[in-house]
Amino acid sequence: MSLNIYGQKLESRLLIGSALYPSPQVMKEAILASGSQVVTLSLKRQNPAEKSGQQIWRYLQEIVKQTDGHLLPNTAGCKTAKEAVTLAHMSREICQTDWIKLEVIGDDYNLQPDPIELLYAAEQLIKDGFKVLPYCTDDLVVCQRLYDLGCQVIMPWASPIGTGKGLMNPYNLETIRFRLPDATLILDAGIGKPSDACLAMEMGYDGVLLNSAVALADNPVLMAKAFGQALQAGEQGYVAGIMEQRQTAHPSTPTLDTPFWHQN
Amino acid sequence: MNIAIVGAGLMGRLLALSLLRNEQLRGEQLRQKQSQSVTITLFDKDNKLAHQSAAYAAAGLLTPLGESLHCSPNIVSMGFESLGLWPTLLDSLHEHTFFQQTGAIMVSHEQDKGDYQRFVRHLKNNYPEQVSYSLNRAELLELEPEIGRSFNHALYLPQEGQLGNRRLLVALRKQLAKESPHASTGNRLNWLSECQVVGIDVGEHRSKVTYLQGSEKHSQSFDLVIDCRGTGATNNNSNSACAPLADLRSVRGELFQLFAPEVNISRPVRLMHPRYQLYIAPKGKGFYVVGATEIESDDDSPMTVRSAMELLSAAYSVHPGFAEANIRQHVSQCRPAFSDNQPKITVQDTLIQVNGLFRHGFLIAPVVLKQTLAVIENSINNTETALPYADLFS
Repeated sequence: MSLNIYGQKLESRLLIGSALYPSPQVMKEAILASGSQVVTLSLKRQNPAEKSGQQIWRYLQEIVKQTDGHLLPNTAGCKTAKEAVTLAHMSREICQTDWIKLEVIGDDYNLQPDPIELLYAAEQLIKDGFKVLPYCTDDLVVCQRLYDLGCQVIMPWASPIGTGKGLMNPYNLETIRFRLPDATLILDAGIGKPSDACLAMEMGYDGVLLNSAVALADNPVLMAKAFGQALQAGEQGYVAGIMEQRQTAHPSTPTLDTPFWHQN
Repeated sequence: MNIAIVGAGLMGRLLALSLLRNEQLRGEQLRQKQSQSVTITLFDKDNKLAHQSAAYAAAGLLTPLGESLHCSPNIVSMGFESLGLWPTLLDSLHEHTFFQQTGAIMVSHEQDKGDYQRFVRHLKNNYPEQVSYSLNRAELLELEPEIGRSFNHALYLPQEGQLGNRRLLVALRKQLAKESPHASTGNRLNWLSECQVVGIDVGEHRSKVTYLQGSEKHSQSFDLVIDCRGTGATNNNSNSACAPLADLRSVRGELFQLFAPEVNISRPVRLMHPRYQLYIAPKGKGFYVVGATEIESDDDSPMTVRSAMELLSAAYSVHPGFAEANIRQHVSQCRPAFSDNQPKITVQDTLIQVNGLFRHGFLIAPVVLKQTLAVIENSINNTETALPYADLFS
């Protein structure tokens, strides 16, 4: 079983961010410990001028090479479709990849994606030949529209970026999974605990993208490992087929030999 | 004996002064070698005001616990050790440099309370032996009356300190002039400012330094070369293809110097922020330094509007009096860091490289200095005497 991103098969179902770590060395160790093969990065914040930030860039490339993985540039910090499209084109040139994590923020307070600008940007980028991985809210209709536009991968949030609040609306997330059975669904943002990631996988999500939960842990490397294992457990649980819940208790051993005065 | 120091930032100046005073020699060696005077040549691309130095674009915070969330425990240990070493070092200078150890305050706005709680938990788990006090609004008002109204809770870290970083660079410049030639050691300093080093050829017995003075190229051999160039030693710096340190990178930092006579804050205040470690450092007479961003970039162009807005709104949110402050200076400078964000002292024959002090220059400089002097001692005498902070630099 592997994760399918636009036809590219990946063994790990964890996508991991490259921000907020105590040092590049810790970032590298955490990414390697997680087993992730997709590392996201933001170009906007790291490149105030042309050709700057080359050292960290080289460092990221080394990590990706070591994991036989991929870089996934994002458009973090963009607030309009136009801005996101421009940055996506720049990223494609610099990172030599047509993958783009499309992020268009509509609200400064909770960094909630702007669904309208997101759809405009996705439409344009698909026309321009990009493989778009849009970050969106857990709104079924927005996810449906993105899928109809040609986004094979959809990334609804669990909760706002960096909050660590986990899956705020499991019903919405389950509905999206049920209604878009053929889309690659990756739960993005708001993950706090390994059990959050496990829960998403048990719902049948294809993968999880996270950053703060690992980078801000007391021990990022150990937490990265924990997430790698949580994803595996959730995925295997989903594939194995989770039993249906029942209203009443059912003994797992026969009760024929229980004396009648012990029953009830 | 001829020793070259390349780079006259904080470390270069401190090392030059220590070498003038023969602080690399101890006990028996000191008596034996006192007769051989040392000539120190200090090369720097900057003028003597050091405005291009990372130490100039700093706040001089000596706050090991405040930094501890984002750095290794080694840096915290070096920071505490250095806090004890600074007073003696500063007392040995003729010119007064501001130093205080009256603690620092950590605050957060309600929306960043998660980060604040994380910091409190981090101190409790990792530094349980260090003293810190949780303050409520009334206690904060008592300690810092002018910021108490803005926050419901704060953390007081009583061991933290600060010094006048720019004054120290000036004091060291004057001290170097005053002590050369040194009255008791006879050691001399030859300071070649605005002089770009373009080559360091490392040899087993001597190393050759090639430099540009004006448009003229010169070469000189030294018994020992100590490289303290900071970001000048990064691999992709087109001006310094000599002796590059492969793992070294630049991290851009931006800060403001504000003049706010209406604001009265007496000790450093740190503000929790999702990306940076923002601080307001009082510098006396109404001056404050507000910093610092931390961006993975070797770009040292002027401050961006985004950074300016983030830093100034942070200052204003701590004290509304900053709205009326004058912006005296905005500074952007790159700081040298290795991938683990810890300093390194490397030795290759007659070349010693001291680098990677990152955003912790003033915090850890006295310890790095002591360790470097011990490395120099071993190098000069071809000995392997135990280094004072071997565990922190391993």
